[in-house]
Amino acid sequence: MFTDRVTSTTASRDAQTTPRDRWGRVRRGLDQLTTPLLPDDYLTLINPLWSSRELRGRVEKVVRETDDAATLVIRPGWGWTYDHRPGQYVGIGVQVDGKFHWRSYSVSSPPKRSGRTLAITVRAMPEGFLSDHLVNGLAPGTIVRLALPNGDFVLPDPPPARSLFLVGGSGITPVMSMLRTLDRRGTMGDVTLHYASTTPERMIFRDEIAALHAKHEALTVHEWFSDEQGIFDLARLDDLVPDWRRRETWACGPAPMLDAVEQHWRDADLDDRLHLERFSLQLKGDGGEGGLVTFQNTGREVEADGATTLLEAGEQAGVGMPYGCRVGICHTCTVTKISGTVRDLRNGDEFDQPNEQVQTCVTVPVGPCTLNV
Amino acid sequence: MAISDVQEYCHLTEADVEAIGRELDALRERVERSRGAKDAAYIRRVIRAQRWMAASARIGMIVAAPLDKRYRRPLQAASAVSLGLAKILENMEIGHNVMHGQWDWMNDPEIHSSTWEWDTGQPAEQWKHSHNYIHHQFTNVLGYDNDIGYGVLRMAREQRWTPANLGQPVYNALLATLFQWGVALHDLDLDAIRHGKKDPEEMRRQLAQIVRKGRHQLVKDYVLYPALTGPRWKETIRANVAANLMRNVWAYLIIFCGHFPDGALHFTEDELEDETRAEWYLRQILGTANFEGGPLLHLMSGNLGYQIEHHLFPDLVSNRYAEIAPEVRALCEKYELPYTTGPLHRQYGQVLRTIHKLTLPNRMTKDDRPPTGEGVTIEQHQRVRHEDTHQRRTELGAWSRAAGRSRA
Amino acid sequence: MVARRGPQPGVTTASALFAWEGAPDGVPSRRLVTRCALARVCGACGRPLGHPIAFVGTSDEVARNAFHLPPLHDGCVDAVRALPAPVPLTVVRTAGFEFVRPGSGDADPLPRFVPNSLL
Repeated sequence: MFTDRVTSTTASRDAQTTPRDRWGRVRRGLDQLTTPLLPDDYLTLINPLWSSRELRGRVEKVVRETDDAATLVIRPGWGWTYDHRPGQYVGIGVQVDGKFHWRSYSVSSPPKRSGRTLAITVRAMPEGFLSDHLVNGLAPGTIVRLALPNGDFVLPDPPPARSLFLVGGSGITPVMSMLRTLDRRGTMGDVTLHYASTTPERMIFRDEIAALHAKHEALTVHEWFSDEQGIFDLARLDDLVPDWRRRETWACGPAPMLDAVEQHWRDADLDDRLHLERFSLQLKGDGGEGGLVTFQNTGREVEADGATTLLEAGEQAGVGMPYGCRVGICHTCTVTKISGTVRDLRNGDEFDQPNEQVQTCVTVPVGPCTLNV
Repeated sequence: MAISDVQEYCHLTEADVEAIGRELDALRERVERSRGAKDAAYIRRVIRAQRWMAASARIGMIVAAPLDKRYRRPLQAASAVSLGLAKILENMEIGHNVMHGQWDWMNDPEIHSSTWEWDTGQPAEQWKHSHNYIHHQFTNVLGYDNDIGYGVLRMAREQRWTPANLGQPVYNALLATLFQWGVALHDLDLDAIRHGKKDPEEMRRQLAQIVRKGRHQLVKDYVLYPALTGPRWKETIRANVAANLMRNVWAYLIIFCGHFPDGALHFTEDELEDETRAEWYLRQILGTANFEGGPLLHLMSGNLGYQIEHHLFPDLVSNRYAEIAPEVRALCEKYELPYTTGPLHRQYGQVLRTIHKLTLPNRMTKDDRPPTGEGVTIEQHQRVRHEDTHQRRTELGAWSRAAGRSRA
Repeated sequence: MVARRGPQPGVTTASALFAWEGAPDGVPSRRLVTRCALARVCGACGRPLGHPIAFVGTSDEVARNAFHLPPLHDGCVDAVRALPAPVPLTVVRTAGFEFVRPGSGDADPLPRFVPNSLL
């Protein structure tokens, strides 16, 4: 409401008046000339970034990091505050087929007050049409919508004396923002990075991390390639990082890895020293056995393997499946499973009761099952 | 002519009505499925063009002010026309359609039925009630739909004649020139007020909201922009009056051509709640009239020249009405349903004739439409169900400035 | 995450819900549901809808993407979910919806809402 806005802006106008505030006040003063629209609605005619109604950004560069990952360098428009805390994520809204789709990605650039851009690094996920669009379909110059930084997976300032980062795959992005911050501020303490990737080629920021390692003696980097070496066993942590118990730890990566880390720290009674960021699903992990999925209302059937979620299976079969976040948060994708057993990829829980509600984006079939879609 | 049983009037079997319903459903589904980037680009283009027109008109008047008369006058005239066209475009193709929710699917909070506020006297909340709900749900049903004559004109023979109707030609001219304010008062329901059926507290709240929004509109057009042109303020006021007049007369014309040409029928049905989808479609077709014209005419009239298509699918994107119109027409021909259309001047000619004819009591004039039979008289205030128009308007409040949540 | 507007002011008790007025059996009034749909107001508090629009429904309604309860504010969802219901209600969010009146041959005799831009 108009009146609400006036009050809230008056309230926020407290301590100091920056030029930005003053300019904002001028714009609000011009409201009366543009009513019922806002001055920003006209200013965007000249430059699409000149509006703080909905936060906007322009994609300046798309930097390819690996075969399937890219860094988007985005120049935010008015209303953006560059003071994100290292490790936080931002929402990005992109128009695909005329409709805005929103996802959240960790900021990989360090916060700087004077900065003009922010960077997010995205890996095209097999199940994510938007991540694929961001990596492969977004041309520089595209205007995107932004949501202000958010998230508790952050590096405190000052940083702890001893820290450990456990990273799997594209989980590097928030950690990279932290490492770059430590580098920029010259506060790189005793830091160990354990970074697992399937292959060296798929390791995002590998060169930059090597350079940081060369620059800072205090930064120890362990690379782990799971295609050759297998999944990293946390029992070996005692050998690699003997003092891990005394380190503040940040872990980010695929869900099975985080589950293992969480358990390991809990067993050591050190939960309070562990920070976790769950932002994506690794669907290749511990799947179900797979099975024939029947979609009752359309009569369609599809054979799904243990790594294919019910949602993906339905989409492959051409069934109109409801979906939302695709990572098990929003429950938009929930449907009734009439019969059969499915497994929740996040925790391995099995659902075998008839007429149960299941979240199709995070469950895989264990044998044949029938859905009411 | 007013119809009490739509199906009987059309000589259609129940199966026919359902078949028509299915064909229209299929049409709708087809458009919904193909709705995408092109449509989004269309509305963004229209909005950009409209804003450029409005901005250049305002700037044009300011720039013209210090110039010599030879240059000033044409520039002012061009600016007035540009502003008038911008207002027309904003009200008709953008505001009206966005507030129907036609563009909600884009998931853009800046172009969404819940946040749009338009450049006219009526607050968006009241429009969404009086137009989206009352008019589109009770289309042309006598005693329900306040769009029949806007509470000031007698538009159907079934409405009781009073000596006050002798003034209709004058009321009509006033309504056309002041249309934006007529619309602003529309949701108050003038008939109910006249008959003492309006809750005074409700009226006070609605009026307060209208005054608050109207004040912003008036201050902008008649105080601030004239002030910016300094000594030429009188000329700016004149130009802005011209722009508003242009929009008012045009909007009035288009809206009256939607439901009052001879072929558009009125209804006296009582039970609307149990109407099936197909019956509802049928009533929309019978109660509505199109007009013919080129793409520019349709754009400037908010695609309301496809009023039949709009009434069938009020929340389907307007840029697609042209594409489905031939199919709707073919469907009507197949089932021998009237598909009322004609050139704009003929449609409006019929409207004018009706307005002037109904100035007089029924016994002195002849009906231009097929005879109804009995002399039915419907009292607006007798039939209207109080709760439909006057109940709990919690949405009224401060008029919501276009998404007033600037974060700067 | 997408920035969401805060909850709308207002509704605490189930009996005060806008579209349920005068409906002792806990079923919203059909007339008011239609009004919510067309005038684009919230079924719980009666104020203009926001962005996004929320619908609540059973898993069956979610699966068919067709809802019977009126559109709601995000912040009004809990008031409706607090109503006594035989099955738990799931929330979906959408930018827009289609309002579909029932056909005479439909198995479902009630008007329904079809979200067209699920979030």
